[in-house]
Amino acid sequence: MASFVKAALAVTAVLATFVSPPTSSAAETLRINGTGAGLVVVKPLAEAFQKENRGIVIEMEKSLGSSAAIKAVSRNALDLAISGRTLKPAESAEGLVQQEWGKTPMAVLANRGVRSKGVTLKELAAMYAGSSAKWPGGELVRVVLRPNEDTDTKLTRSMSPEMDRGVGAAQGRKDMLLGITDNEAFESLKKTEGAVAVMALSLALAEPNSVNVLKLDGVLPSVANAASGKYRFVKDMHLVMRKDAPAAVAKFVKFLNSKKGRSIAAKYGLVVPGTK
Amino acid sequence: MNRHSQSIRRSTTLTAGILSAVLTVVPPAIYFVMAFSHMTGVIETEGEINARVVGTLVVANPKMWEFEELRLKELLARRSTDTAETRVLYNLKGQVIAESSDQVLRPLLSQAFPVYDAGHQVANLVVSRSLAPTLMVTTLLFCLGALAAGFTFFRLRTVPLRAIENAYRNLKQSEEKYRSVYESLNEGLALYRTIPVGGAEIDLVLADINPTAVSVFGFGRDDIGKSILQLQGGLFAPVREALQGAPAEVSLELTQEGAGRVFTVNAFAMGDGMVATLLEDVTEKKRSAEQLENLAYYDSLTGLLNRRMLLDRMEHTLGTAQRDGIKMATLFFDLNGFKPINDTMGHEAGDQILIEVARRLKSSVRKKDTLARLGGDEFVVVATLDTEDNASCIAQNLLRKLAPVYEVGGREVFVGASIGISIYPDDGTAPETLLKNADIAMYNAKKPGIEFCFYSAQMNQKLQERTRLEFELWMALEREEFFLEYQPIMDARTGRIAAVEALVRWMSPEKGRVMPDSFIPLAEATGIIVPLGEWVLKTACTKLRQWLDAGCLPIRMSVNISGCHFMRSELCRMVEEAAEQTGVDLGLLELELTETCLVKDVEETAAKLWYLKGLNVSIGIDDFGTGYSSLQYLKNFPIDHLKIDRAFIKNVCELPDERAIVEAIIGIAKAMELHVIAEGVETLEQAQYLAHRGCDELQGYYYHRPLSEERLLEVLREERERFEQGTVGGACEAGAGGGADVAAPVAVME
Repeated sequence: MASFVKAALAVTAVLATFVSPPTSSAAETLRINGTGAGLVVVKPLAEAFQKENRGIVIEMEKSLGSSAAIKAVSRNALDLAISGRTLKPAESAEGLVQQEWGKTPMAVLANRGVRSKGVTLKELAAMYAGSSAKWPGGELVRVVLRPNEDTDTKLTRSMSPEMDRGVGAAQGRKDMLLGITDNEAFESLKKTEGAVAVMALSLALAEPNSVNVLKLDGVLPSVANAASGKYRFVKDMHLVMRKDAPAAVAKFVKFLNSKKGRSIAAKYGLVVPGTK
Repeated sequence: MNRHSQSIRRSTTLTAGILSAVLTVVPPAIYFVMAFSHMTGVIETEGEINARVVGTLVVANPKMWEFEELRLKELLARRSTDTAETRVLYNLKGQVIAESSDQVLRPLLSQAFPVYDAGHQVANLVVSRSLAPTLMVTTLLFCLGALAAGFTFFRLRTVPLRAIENAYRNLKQSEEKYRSVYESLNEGLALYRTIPVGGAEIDLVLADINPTAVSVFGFGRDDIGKSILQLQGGLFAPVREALQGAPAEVSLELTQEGAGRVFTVNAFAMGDGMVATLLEDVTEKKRSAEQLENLAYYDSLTGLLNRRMLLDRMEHTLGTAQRDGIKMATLFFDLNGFKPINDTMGHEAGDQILIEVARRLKSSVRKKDTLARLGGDEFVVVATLDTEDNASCIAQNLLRKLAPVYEVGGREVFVGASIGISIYPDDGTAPETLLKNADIAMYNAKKPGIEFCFYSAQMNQKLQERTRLEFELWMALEREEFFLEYQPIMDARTGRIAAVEALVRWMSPEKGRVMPDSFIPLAEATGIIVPLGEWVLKTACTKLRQWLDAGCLPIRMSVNISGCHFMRSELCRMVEEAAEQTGVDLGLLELELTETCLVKDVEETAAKLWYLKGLNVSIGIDDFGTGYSSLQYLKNFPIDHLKIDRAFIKNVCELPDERAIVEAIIGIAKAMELHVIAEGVETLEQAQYLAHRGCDELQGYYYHRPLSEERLLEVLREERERFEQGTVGGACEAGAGGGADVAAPVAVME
């Protein structure tokens, strides 16, 4: 009896494959996620790519961050991860490969209400350490932190020894503003009076005039200044994929490195090598 | 007591143990429970909050949230405290999605909190905290509690138990001490338990006895548990009776008829329904008391009442006499002739006489009369009378009874008695007065021819005078109212003063000059003669020494020694002391004794005289011829001279008898080579006669009256001057008429 039921089910399944009509699922889906600063750059690039490649649909969920995206790629939950860091050996061992994409300046962003045009690195370190509590305009300095393990935090610490100490001190302070993701941090920055954070310039460029981009030690963080090396503090962006990634991935990566792709990236704050 | 002690020990130990256990367990337990509750509460709160935060992330990215490890970690790391904690996020398959771990020690307290995606559980958050710090503090508290408990246990158990043990030890020592006292008591001690036997009546049941009760009072150990009525044949029944009504203490004297023993029983309550009876055998004590009473109230020799008891009985008799309106006679006896018997035959013989006298008197008096011995040979009979005549009858009857001969030591002796009688109420109303007055009357009865005498007031007056005089004599001695006069004794051949006789005089402030005849007898009777004689002796020696030192020629000093003085005092020692103190040559001292005193105790007299002789003191017999005039003592005693009594000299020239006596005395003295002195020479004839008869020395008013010291010294000086001028060549030259050589008087009257 049991064998009869099994056989019946198997026949039904085979017939079903022949009877079912062709669907739009023939279009290839490319699942991309990663660091928020990268995604805001990828978003216009994806739109441009999809216009050129109608058969490929790019899905982009809410930013997971670099590590989560890399993990999702390794688990085949994503096809391409935009990472703010290089792969760890363990991650490489899981059959992932990475490709350098570009770099975006790590800018000092402040709430729009802050009237200051720029800060020095020392002043910024003092703000993180809590020794400089107010902006010249009188607003309370409210530092927006990132998770300790986050790439942005590491980059911020590496800006100077004072900054390293300042960030360390800030993380010891109670009830600090914390943005788990780039987007959360950026939202806090926008909403909070006197807020200040060190974040990728791409975030600010994705929403023009939403925040105040401050000069650091008199240098404005810009693609040009970053490309010229005038502005020293940058965040590298990497593309992470599986070795057996679908062809659409390679196609999209190729688009990213194309002239058009580089141009769009530059517009949104990412300096892709080879961009003039 | 030991069981009680064990019980206290167990209770104390249990209480201390429980308290210690509470102290050990309760504080750490309370701490642990509270800390555990707190930790649970904190974990619940933290877990709930964290699970919601994680849930927010899940909702924000329901498809990909599981890959956001870093962000999840960051969320898990959000802590409100610094306490070490482990937070692990599991998916529904139990796989770890993210974890935030501090270093935590096992054991752990863990709680799981579900993480929801819009109401659908998508994960579990497990929050763990270490119980180790709580357990460590709990352990520490346990240890501290244990220490406190140990101390508490010690304080609560050991200290009280030690105090109790000390108390028990002290109690035991005390009990042993009192037990030893109890056991070694000379008194018998019997302890009884009181048992009510209905109503207010109680019975006493023997509970314990000490060894004395067994050995002395005949209790047995098997008597314990018996009623007091069953002990010793009901001997102690009176104790039970006396204790009815619960008096505090009962004291009884019981007599054990068969054994003839008397003992006292003191019963007293000891508390706890116990009664102690203290038994003391007072048989001997009572016997001793009776003996003491006999000694106190009876004369041990005769068994008659003594003075004390006599007075007591007289009080009673006086009471009766007063009540009945009758008279009472007090007859005071003094035996006559008893003293010589006692002296010559010894005290044993005297005692026999006294016993016999007592026996005879006892057989003569009526039962209602009182017979007593006052001491010595004095007896008293007290009798109630209807008339005074009866007293005479009693006295005569008693004298008759005493009159028959007494046989003592194989010899027959006669003893008479003098009786003084005083009558109540005529002669006094008090026993002492009646006794004193009877005594006075008795002295009166001593006169020859009187056997008994009733008291009269005159008798008392004389006695009072005598008493006053005695007092005055003592005072005179103390105030030095006595003085000496010196009567020269002339050498019959040379007419020179050979010696002086010291004569005592009394210059009384009230009576003026008092002659020796008035006070010497009383001084002898009262014993004043002894100190007076000593004073005379020493004063005479002192004066002689002074005269010699002043350049007088050596003369003898003659001092009269009373018989009493000679017998009663230590005359020899006195003489030696006088010589030692004054430095006088004892060869110049003459002691004049009367014959009477020499014959009283011959042996002692001889010893004393020979001793004095050894001191070179001259011994003379004063008033020779008026006393015993025994030739025996003249022969045996070391007599140097005889002084012929003035009674013989007075009429020596007129009466042939007197002359014969004087001549005989002189003859005997010469024959025995004794010096002869005649006193009371008042005329030339007497002086011539005596000198002619060979009398060696003459003394009397014919030559000199007794002289004061100053006058004597003048006389001595004048005499010396005369002799130096040769005016007094011999007695015959100055003689007034006779052919005999005789010393002439220097002055007839001084």
